Amino acid sequence: MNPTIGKYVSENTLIHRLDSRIKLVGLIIGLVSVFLNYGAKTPGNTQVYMNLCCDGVIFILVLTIAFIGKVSILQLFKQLSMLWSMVLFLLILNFFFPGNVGGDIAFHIGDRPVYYATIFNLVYILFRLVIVMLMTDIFTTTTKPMEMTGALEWLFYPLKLIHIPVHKFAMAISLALRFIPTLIEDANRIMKAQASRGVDYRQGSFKDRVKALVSLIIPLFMSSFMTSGELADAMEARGYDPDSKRTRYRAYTWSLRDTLSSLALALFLALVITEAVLRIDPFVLFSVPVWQLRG
Amino acid sequence: MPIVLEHVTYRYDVKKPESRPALLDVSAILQDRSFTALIGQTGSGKSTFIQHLNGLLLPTTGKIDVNGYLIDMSPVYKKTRHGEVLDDRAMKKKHKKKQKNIKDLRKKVGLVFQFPEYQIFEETVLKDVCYGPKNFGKSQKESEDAAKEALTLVGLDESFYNRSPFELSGGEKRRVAIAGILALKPEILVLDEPTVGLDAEGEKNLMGLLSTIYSKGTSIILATHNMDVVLKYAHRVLVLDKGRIVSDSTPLALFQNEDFLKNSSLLPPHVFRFAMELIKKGLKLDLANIRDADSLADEIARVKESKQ
Repeated sequence: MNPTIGKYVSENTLIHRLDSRIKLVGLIIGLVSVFLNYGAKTPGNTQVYMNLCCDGVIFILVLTIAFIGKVSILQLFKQLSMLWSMVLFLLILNFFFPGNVGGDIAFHIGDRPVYYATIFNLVYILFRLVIVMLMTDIFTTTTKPMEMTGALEWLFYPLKLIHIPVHKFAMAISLALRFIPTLIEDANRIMKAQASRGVDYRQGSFKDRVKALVSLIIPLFMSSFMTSGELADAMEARGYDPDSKRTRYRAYTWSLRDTLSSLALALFLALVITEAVLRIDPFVLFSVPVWQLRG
Repeated sequence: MPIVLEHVTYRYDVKKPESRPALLDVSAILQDRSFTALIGQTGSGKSTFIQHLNGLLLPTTGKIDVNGYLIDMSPVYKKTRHGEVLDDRAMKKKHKKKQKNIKDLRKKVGLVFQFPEYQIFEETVLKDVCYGPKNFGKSQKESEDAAKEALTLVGLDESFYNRSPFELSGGEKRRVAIAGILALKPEILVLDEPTVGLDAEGEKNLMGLLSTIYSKGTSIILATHNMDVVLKYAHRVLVLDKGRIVSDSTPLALFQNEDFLKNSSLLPPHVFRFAMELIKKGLKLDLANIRDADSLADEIARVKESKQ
């Protein structure tokens, strides 16, 4: 339970001051662009080299944004160290069920050949994952949770037309975000109380640990239910009506930097789409010898 | 068995050296078979102090000895150009080292948290009280015996054994939770504001229970805001302020020290203040005899009788 991951860090930078809606849309565009294919299509296969180059460009852009937003890049990479279980999983998966077979063999593990293609593919997947994590991290460290929900509400605004109560969901999300620290505090308190009764959350057999977890989860649920009931009462007592028209405490003001960044974002989107459709691939055009990979 | 604290300092956020320590150079000896009260304003470090007693928190620097169970975080210094400074690396090493058999300590020192009813989770009262002893390796039979004994002690009879703890009243829940600790048969019982949120009757029952437990040979350490409780039950009272022990005396001596109380914004209990007023008006009361309203009435009667 490490609450520092993706936590908002108060700074006064261009990225922090940017309209949260632009940041959200930017994040979505960024995420999509990472997973698009850019390489030229050859029958059955896609050239991954061009993909890697494009993702490299995106990676540099992301680092630039992190730099402008004073997001500690070192901190970001520290968080990435949590990916190790994912790496292990991918390694095992790729080793036993290699998606890219053929081509040159790098080395053998036992009788099994490990192809360069498999290793390459693994690196490529990880690279994309890293970029995705960096993007979301930058978004969450530069955007206040309340602004985030505001942006989400705005994004889902069209759903109001088909009578989906978007603002109620937004309220639920912002309440959920607000209560994460409270929940962590509660959990710590209960863990300490149970530790006084001889529970050890770190040691013991699997069965003991499950039992130990139960002794944490049930009281946590009980107190959360109680808190949520009390919160609902308190909100009603202060006149909260979910169906009435709501005003905003924070007015969104559109400024020049928002216009400029929107334009930059639009340009980026245009480039991404163009490349994804046309698949201009210098590696193929100039016949750079590459391995044939399935992307 | 005494608890000895030597120069205990605790910081919640070690990485920020500018953060104010929650405990600062606290040294104290808590004697065997004593009833000690711990008072101080909110944020004075009472809860932090209490959590050190059974190893839930380990001191940033300092040493705690609970009858032979030693938590040694005594500072290591190294010489630098700027004189002797704390050797961070050596301290880190000390903190990383696993405390051996911390369960032994937790068995000796039972800790009841504020609002202990939050720790309840089993489906029946008896099962929940059994949970502690079982964790400490007791058999089912032994645990149940200990649980039944503890439940009888807190005044819950057999009709409660198979009820769900979640359908009990607040006061009853708290008694179940306290029984859950008592079933461990701790030699020292530490409580963090046990009377908060109870009505007058519940408070009286709970404190009555604590003095029964005390008379059976268990030391009691109590953090509280309730001065009436301090006056009536405690033999010794420690006052914490901003993480330091600023006073260590008997309740009688503390409540007579008006200047000190004013400085630490503490108020003596109503009974005591009333008695002081009476003394100012010329009644020769012996403050040492006054522990609550009843004993005040007795004392007034005694003084009046001796006058006649």
